Amino acid sequence: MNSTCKKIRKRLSAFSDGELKPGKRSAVERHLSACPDCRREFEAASRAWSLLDGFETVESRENFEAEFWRIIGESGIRRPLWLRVVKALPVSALAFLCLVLGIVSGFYLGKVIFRNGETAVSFNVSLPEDSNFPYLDNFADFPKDSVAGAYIAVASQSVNSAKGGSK
Amino acid sequence: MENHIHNIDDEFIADFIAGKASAFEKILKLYKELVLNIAYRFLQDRTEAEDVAQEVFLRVYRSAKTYKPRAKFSTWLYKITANVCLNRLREKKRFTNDFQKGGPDLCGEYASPLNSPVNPASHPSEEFEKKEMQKIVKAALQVLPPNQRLAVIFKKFQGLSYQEIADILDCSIPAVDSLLQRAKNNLRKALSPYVHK
Repeated sequence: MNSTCKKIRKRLSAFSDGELKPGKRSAVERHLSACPDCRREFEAASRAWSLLDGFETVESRENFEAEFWRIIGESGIRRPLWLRVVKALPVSALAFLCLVLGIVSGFYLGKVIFRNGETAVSFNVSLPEDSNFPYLDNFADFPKDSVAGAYIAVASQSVNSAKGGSK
Repeated sequence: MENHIHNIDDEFIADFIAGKASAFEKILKLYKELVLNIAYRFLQDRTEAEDVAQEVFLRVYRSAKTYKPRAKFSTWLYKITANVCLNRLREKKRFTNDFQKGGPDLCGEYASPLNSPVNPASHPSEEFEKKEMQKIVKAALQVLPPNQRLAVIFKKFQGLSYQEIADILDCSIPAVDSLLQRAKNNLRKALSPYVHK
């Protein structure tokens, strides 16, 4: 084997891995096209390398992560408390807890917004000018010959008779 | 060639450094198969590989707060994996005299198939041939010195560049080139009876 072949063979690994710079890469390609011995050597090495593709891949066991956290727990390194609680609870219990929290926070939120019968937050509501309820705007009574007026008359009579009965 | 690495550097590395368990859980999910397979290809023992993978993630978990993102997270993870694999091999060396020969204690059922080449004519089943070939390939890898074996695993199965392998093995690029040259020569010699011409 001459010195050129020795030099080229030292570069064959980097050449096949695409790690040679363009100049050196071209030199190897030219030599391989002209030297059958080096080409044979290169092809044999490439075939052996490609046989490694047959190496199997394994999958981790299903309890890999659980086992990891168990080791963490035993070694004294702990996950945050809230994460431990969340992970320990079943999904239904978590859903129930969220529901209870939602109801409780809604209750207290309502109390804050509507304090002592007054709104803590002002709501700027105004009816349009062409409202269908002019009587409500003016706080006037409903006309007596209207359905609403008749209803209020009957209701008033009931309230008055109840008051009269209680005396 | 497999290359499952996700570039998580921009995703949640800050959360990981801050010690957030949710970030670590993502890391575990993303990388457990990759780390396990590197360890399996190196040690060729499923149980040992799982132990190594667990230890790798324990080290990653404990080192989170001291992790400095000077290099890619994946490079750091590969480095830890390589170190744990090498440590495990050294521990086994204390308990076996067959370390250099890659004997039964290291290779298990893949002890020395290189010494008894398969005669395809006597076992026509394709599946059987495939399994036997796997054993032969595993044995060929197993007899490589540890650093050559790691270089082959990172190059062949992870598709890493020489620069990345140099960072992982803490050596120079010419040193990686030299490792892979020698590894490929050894593999060629070991597998030459099985290479179809």
